[in-house]
Amino acid sequence: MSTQSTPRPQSRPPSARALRMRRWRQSAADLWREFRAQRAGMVGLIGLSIFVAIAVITPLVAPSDALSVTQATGGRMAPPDGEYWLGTDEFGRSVALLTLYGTRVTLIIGIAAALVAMVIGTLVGIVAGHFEGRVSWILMRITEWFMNLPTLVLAIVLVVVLGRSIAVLVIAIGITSWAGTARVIRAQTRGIEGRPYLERARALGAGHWSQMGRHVLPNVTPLVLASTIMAIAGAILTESTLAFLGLYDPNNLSWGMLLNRAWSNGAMSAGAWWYVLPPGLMILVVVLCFTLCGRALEVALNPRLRR
Amino acid sequence: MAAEATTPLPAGSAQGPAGKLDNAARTGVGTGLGKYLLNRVSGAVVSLLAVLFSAFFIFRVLPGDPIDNLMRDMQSATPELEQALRAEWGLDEPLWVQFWSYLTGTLTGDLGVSIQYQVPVMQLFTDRLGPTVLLGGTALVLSVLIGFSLGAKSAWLSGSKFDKRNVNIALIFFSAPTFWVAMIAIIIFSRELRLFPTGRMVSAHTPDRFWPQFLDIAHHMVLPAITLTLMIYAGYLLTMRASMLDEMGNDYITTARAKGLRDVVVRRRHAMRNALLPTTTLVFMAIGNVINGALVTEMIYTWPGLGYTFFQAIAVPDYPVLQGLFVIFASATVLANLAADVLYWFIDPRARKA
Amino acid sequence: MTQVRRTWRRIAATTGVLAIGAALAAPAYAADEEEPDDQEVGDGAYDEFTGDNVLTIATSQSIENWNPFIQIYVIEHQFRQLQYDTLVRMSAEDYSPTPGLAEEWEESEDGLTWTFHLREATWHDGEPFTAEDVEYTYHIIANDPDISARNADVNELIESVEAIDDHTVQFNLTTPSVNLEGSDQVIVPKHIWEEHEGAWGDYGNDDFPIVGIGPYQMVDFSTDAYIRYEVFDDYWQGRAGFDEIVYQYYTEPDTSVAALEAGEVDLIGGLNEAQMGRVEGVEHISTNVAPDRRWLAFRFNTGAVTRDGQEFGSGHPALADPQVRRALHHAVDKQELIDRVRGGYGEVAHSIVPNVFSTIHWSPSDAERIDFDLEEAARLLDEAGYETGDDGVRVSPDGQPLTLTFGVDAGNAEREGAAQFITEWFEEIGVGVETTISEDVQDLFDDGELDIAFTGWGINPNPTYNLNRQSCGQLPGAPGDGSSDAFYCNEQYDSLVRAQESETDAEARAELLFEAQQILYEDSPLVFLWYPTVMEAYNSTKIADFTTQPADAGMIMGQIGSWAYHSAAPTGETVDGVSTGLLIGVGVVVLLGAVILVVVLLRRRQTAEDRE
Repeated sequence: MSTQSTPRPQSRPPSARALRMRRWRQSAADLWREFRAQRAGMVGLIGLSIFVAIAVITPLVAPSDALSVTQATGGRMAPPDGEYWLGTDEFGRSVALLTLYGTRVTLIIGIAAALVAMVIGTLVGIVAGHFEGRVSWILMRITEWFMNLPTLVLAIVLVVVLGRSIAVLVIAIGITSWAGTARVIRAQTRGIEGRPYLERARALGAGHWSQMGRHVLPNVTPLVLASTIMAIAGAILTESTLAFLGLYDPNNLSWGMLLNRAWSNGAMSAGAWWYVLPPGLMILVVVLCFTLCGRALEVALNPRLRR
Repeated sequence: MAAEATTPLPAGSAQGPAGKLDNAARTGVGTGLGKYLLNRVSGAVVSLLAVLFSAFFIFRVLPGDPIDNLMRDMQSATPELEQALRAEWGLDEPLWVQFWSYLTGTLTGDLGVSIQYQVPVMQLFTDRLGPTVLLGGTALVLSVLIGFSLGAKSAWLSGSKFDKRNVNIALIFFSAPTFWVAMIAIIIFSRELRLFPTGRMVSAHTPDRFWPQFLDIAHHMVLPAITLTLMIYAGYLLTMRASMLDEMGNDYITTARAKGLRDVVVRRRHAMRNALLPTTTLVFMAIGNVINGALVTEMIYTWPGLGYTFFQAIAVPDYPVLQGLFVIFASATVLANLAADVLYWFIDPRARKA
Repeated sequence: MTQVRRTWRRIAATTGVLAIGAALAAPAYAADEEEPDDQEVGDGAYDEFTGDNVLTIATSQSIENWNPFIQIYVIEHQFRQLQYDTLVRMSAEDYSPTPGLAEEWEESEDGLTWTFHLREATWHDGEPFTAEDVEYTYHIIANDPDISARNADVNELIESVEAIDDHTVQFNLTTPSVNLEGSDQVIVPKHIWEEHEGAWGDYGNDDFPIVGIGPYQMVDFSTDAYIRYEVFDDYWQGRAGFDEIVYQYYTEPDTSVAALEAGEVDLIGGLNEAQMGRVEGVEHISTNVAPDRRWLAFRFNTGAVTRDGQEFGSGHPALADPQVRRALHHAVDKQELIDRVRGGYGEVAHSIVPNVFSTIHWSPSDAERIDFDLEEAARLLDEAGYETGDDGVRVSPDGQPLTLTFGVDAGNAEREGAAQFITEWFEEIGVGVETTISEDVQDLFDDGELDIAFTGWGINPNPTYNLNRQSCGQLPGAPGDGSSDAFYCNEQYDSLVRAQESETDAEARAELLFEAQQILYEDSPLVFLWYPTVMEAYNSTKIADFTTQPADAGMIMGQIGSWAYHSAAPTGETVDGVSTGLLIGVGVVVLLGAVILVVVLLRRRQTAEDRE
C-alpha cells in the first residue's frame, strides 16, 4: 500500500501509464487511511484475518481422521467434556474440529460466489450504462427479471437441477445475486459518462471498449470493491441457508451443512445445543465481519458519509 | 440476517432510489404522469410475461419424475397404471402442448391440479395465502415500525451511544442466518421454557370459536413473527438512518434550526417526512427479501403458508404447485416494484423532470 | 421527539399485547378443556374438539383423495383400515388369514372357486352389508378404466365374482392362487357407489361423513392440518374405545415429539434415537419398540440391461462379477451401522424376507455368513484381478479404476450417515467412491447411471412381489422402467420363486423360499443392511393399551388391519401436558417483563429529553 518504494524515473516526464499508476496508488493510500480511521471496519478486518487463518491452518494442524466416521471415538451427541470441548456429533466426532473444518468451504463458496456475481454485475452494469437504446433496454430488462425472481427459490432449483457440488453452489448463488450490483454500477457509469474527460476521449475517437475499459472501469472499481465485500456476506448467508435446506456438497463440510445435520439428526430433541450453537455463531461472526468491512469501505469511499 | 444475498446493505446514501431515479430519468421522453406510468406499467408487463414463460421451463428441468415418485410408493405399480397417471396430468403430451395449456390455464386463473394433493392448485393457494399474509404482514408492519422509528432516532442522535448500540444490534441480526435464529428460538422458548409451540398455526384441540382460535393462532405466531421481524427490521433501520442523515445534511434543515424551530419540530415536520418516502419505496423494493425470509421461517416453524407448500412440493416434484408459486412470488415482486416506481414519481420531483 | 416517542409507545404496546396475549392464550383453552364434558347441549362446536375421549395421532402425510380405489399413500392405507374392512384380515397375532367381513371361506378342489360366507354387519348409514356389495366392489375394479389399470393383476386372476345369496359370494379364478386370501381390497357400499356408475374413478368419495363399515367413520378434514374420525357404534366387532380419532399433521418429527410431551398428541411413530431418548424419561409417555416388516439395503447395478438384452447406462462393469459384490459385502459392518447410525434400533439383515415372518425368514449359518472382514474383502478383490493402483485405488485388469458412484437420497439423514460409513470402508479396501446426493437417485439408478443406491421396502406376509423384483422377468422393458431392483437375473432363482407361488404346502413352500433367499444372499445383488425397529411413543396415562401386531412385541402404527385403533381404550385420566399452572406462571412472568419494559422505556424517554 505504500507509495514510497516506487522508483521514479528522473530524466524524462513520467509516462501516462506511470502517471495513472501513481494516481491509483495515491488514492489507494487515501482509502486505506480513511478505512483505518474506522474502528468497526478494523475490527471486521482483523476478524476476517483470523477466519482466513483458521481456514488455512485447520487442515494442516488438525488430526487427519477428524472427519472420519469409522475412526470417531466419542459418544453419540455427547455433551462437552475435557476431551471434546464442544461435544460430539451424531457419529461421535468432535464438533469443535468439524466447525473449524467448515470455515474453509464456507469462505471459499462465499467469496467465489460473490466474485461471480460481481463480474456479471459489473459487466452488465457498465455495458448497459455505456450503450444507449436497445442494448441497454434488453440488459436492463434481464436485470429486472433477475431482481424480480424469488432468488432463494431460483437458487434452490438451480442446485437441485445441476447437482450438489461446490461449483454449482457458487454458480447458483452468483447468478441469483448480481442484479442489484448491475443496477448500481449502471447508474454510476451513466454519471461518469457525462463527465467532460470522457466526452473528450470520445471526441478523440476512443472506441467503446477503450472508453469502458480505460475510463469507466477504473472509476467504478472502488464501488465494485465495496459491494463485493457486502456481497460476500450475502453469499455466505445464502450458502448457509441452501446447505441447511439440504443443498450442500456432501464431500465438503460447511457450517450450513453441519446445522442441517444437527437439525435432521434430532439435535433439537436431544437438546444438543453444543451442536447447534458453534456453526451458527461462526456464520454470524464472519458475516458480521464482512459487513463491517464493507460499510467501513463505503464510508471511506464516500466523503458525504463521514460525520 | 436480512438479505439472504440479494439486497446490498445500504451503509450510506440509499442506493435503490438513486438507481431508480436514473432509470426514470432515462425513460422520460415526455413528461407527465401518464407517459411515466405507461412506461413503468409496460415494463412490468414485460417482466410478468418473462416470469410466466420462465416458470414453466425452470420446473420442467427439475430432476425426478413425479409419476415415478408416486409409483414407488405403490406395490401394485403396473405400466398401465403409469400410463393412466401420466395421461391424468397431461404429462404424456409433447412439451409445447403442455406449455400451451399451462399458458392459457394460468391466464384464465386455472393453475392445474396438484400432483401431490390432487386438488386444484388455485384452491390450495387460497388455503395457504392467508397464513403467509398473516405472518408476513405482521412481521412487515412490526419491522417497519421498529426499523423506521429506531432508524430515524438513531440518525438524529448520530454518533451517540444510543446510535452505536442501535446500529450494532441491527448489524448482528442482519448477519445471523434466519434458520439458525429460529432454531435457537425453538430450543430456548419451546423446548426448554415451553412458552410457545414448536410449530404449526393452530392446535386441533382448540374449540372452533373465534376467541379461542384467535388466541391460539396468536400464540403460535409469536416465534415465527419475531424471527421474521428480526430478520427484516435491520435493513429498514439502516436505510432509514441513512436517508435521515442525507436529509439532515440539507440546507433547509440548518435553516430551520437557525430559525429557532425546536428540534422535535424540525425532525418530525421536515427531516423525517422527507426521509420517510424514499425509505418507503425501498420497503416495496425489498419485498423479495421478505419472501425469502418467509420461505425459511415457514419451513422451520411448519407454518402452513405458501413457502411451506413450496418445500413440500419440491421433493415430489409437484410441477403445477411449483410453477404457480413461482409465478405468485415473482409477480408479487414485480407489482411491488411497480408500486415503488409510481410512489417514487410522487416523491421525487427529479423523476418528473428529465 | 413526540413522533418517535409515540411510535415507540405504540411498538411497546403492540409487543406487550402480543406477548401477553400469547402467554394467556394457552391457559385460556387449557382451562376450557378442563370444563366438564356435560356442556354438550348448546355448544356442539366446542364439544367436538375437546374431551379426553379423543385419540390424537401425529401424521406427516395429508390426504386429499378419499376414493379408496385410487389412493396411494401410507396414510391413505390407514384411512381404508379405519373406514372400511376387508373380507379376510391378517391376524394381529402372526399375520395369518383370519375372518374379516367373511366369517368363513373355502376353496374348491381345483383351487379355482372360492366361496366366502359373509357376516351380518351394517354400513355406517345403517344399511345392511350384503354379498351384493362385494360383487359390486369387484365390478368397479374390473370395469372402471382408471381403476382396472391399477388392478391389472387382480383382474387377470379373477374371472368373475357372483353373489350367491345375501351372505354368500363366490369368486371364480383363472389359476389357483393364495393371493386372494391375502388381498387387502376393501369392500365399498353398493348403494353409495352405484350412484356413480361408470365414473367411479372420478368420484372423489368426499361426501362427508363417508359411508364405510370400519370401526371409525371419517367425518371431517382440513388440508395439512387434521383428519377426524368418529367412532361407529354398531361396528360388527363391537364399539371401539375412543369416541374420536384425530390425525394431526406434523412434518418434523421433532415437532410431534414436543406435542406428545405437551399432551397435544397421544401417539407418534417414526422416531429416531435422539427423540426416543428424550421421551423415555417422561412420566406419562410409554415407548414401543418393535421389529418392522421392512428392510434397508443397498443395491448394486449388476449390469443394466433390458429384457431384450439392450445394455444401457454407465454402470461399472466390475459389479457384474459376483465375487466383487461379495467382496464389497464383506466390507460392510452391519452391526456397527445399526449401532452408529440408528443408535442400535434395528437388527442385522441378511435376507429379503424380514425376521418378523419367522416361518419363511432365512438366515445364514455361521459358515455361510458373509462377515465384516476387510482382509477377506481385499483378498477377494485381489483374486478377481483388481490390483491396487498408485493412488491407492484398485484397477481392473483392463486398466479401469475401481471407482463406484454411490447415490444417496436427498433429505434422508439415515441413508446419508450409512453412506459415509460404507464409503470409508470401501476406500479402506481400495475401492473409490463418488457420492452424489440427489432428489432423483432412484431414477438415476433405474437409468443405469449409478453403481450403488439404497433401497428399502415394506414386505407383505406374502413376499412374492419383492422376490419377483429380482427375477429376469422383471428386467426393464425399456431403459429406466425401474421394475427390477438391481438388474439381477438368475434362472435358478427364478424357478424357485415360480415354484413357491403355486406350492400350497406351507413347509415345502418355506423350503423353496429359503433356497431363493440364500441365492440372493450369496450372489449379493443387494446387500441387506438392517431390519429397522419401529419406534413409537404414546401417552400411557390416557391410553390403556394397544393390541400390537404381531402380538408378541409388535408394532402399533404400521399394522395391517385396524387392530390397534380398535383395541385402544381410554383410561379416563387426563394429562395436562404442560400444566395450566405452569402456563399461568409463565404468563405472569411475561406480564412482569412487559411492565419492566414499559418502565425502562419511560425512563429512556426522560433521559433522551434531558439530552435534547
